[in-house]
Amino acid sequence: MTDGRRPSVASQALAVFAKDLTAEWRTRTTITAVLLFSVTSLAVVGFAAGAAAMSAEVKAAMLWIVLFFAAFSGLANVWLHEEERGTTLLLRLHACPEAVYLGKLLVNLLTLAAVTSVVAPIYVAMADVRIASPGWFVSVLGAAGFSLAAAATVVGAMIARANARSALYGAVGFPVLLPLLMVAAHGTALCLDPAAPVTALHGTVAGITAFGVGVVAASWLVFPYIWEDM
Amino acid sequence: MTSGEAMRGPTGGRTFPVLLQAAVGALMLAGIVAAFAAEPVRNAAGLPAFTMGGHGAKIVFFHVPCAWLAVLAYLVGAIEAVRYLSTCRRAGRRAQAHDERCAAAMEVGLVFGVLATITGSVFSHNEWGMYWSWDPRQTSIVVVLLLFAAYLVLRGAIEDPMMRARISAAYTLVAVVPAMFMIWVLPRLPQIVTLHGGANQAVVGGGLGPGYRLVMYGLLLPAFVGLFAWLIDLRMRVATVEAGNEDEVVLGGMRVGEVSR
Amino acid sequence: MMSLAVVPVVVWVGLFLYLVALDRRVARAQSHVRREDDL
Repeated sequence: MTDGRRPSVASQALAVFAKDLTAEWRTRTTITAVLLFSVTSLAVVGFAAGAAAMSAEVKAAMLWIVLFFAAFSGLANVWLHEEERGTTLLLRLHACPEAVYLGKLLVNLLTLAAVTSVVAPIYVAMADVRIASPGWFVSVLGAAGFSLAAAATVVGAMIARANARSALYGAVGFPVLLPLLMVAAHGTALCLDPAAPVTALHGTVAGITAFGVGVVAASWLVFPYIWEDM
Repeated sequence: MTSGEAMRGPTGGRTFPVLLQAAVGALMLAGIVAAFAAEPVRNAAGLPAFTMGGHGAKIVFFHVPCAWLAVLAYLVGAIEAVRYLSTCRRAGRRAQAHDERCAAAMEVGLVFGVLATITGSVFSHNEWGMYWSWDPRQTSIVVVLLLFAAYLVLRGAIEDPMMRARISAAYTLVAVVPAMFMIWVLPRLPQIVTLHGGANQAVVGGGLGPGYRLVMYGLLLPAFVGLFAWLIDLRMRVATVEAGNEDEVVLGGMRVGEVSR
Repeated sequence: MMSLAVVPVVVWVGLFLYLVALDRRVARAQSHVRREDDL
């Protein structure tokens, strides 16, 4: 920045993203913790249900409950690690707020995508579901994963400097995500149903994506206020 | 400018006008009496259309204003959150008033949200046999209720006042997305058949009785809105008093130690 | 049916009187704070 020209928001964001990726790759704490948590929760749900017959809706809900809890077990780490390592101020000085938000969002998107790509196949095998529309299934996973990561990122930023962070994260984050949970579970159930009309599937994915875009837009606008220091 | 002046409530720090207080009291009283005195709804065959001799649906008279007010409370909170964020970098005290008003609106909204859920459950039990029918409308008010509660929990967990105000405002605005989604989008999704939709038709189509419009819109709704404004005003003034007492410790060099809570 | 109305009427009158009393108390506390500010 000594040449008088600030790097663009996009390049700053990519720098934040790359930094976090490098840091995470060295220890791999977050990804392993979240992966282990999600696989274990899947097992918990499976064991608790046992061989009991479940409707498609219940099975669909199961997947999303596991993914939501998995997300809220680890996606706040992008912010918490900065706090714990004392590097928040450094980040504030080197990147504009929008870039920080974008970079952290990208990290969480990648993390959640990685977790979903492991959890979804295990779920399909374990819950013994027949996916009638695989393409739409992947679309629902992608759209809802995007929205989930977006909400988890912004809520994580909000609670990063509060008291009782671990319980607070879930308590504050889940009400925001309840509508997403409903529509994602409904969408997944539609994917399991061979007779589901395409318009319904399309509408559901569109609704989920709209939710995510809305959350990202709102987060983009308010993040500078969350991020700024006293 | 003293701290007391800087944080007036919507009516300038004086009490919510006595005239309006009396109006709220009278309107609500009249509304309650009128609701119970109203003719029970009869269907085409002349038989009561709802349970309890047609009177079972009358809780709707109270349920609808409560639900509307919960939504209104969220809108007020969101507007105050925007106003807070747009002024927080310059005008310290004025911004603080917006934050307090947002918090007041969310608290009152929680109360009305709980009332709406309870009255809705009673109606659901009377008419459809179950307290909770997983109807999207019914769940949507619970989500909004949880958003209010989450706001208050978040507020309670941050000690520094300015950070608390900023983050509360930010949360209100981010949560606008799910709130508006639940209130307006979800109940209208075509593939979701709702019991509540049927009930909506009954109310909107005048099915509750000939005079219901007058009772609900003319008496109870204004009474509830007045009650809402009064509660916000009271809550704001309590915050002013508390802030005034805090300032004695912070500002009053001559009065340190004279805090009266 | 009007006999059922007694309960909500009593509840409302009680709540209303409570709010009025609270209003008076808060107003008194406010003027107390204001008077001290003006001292």
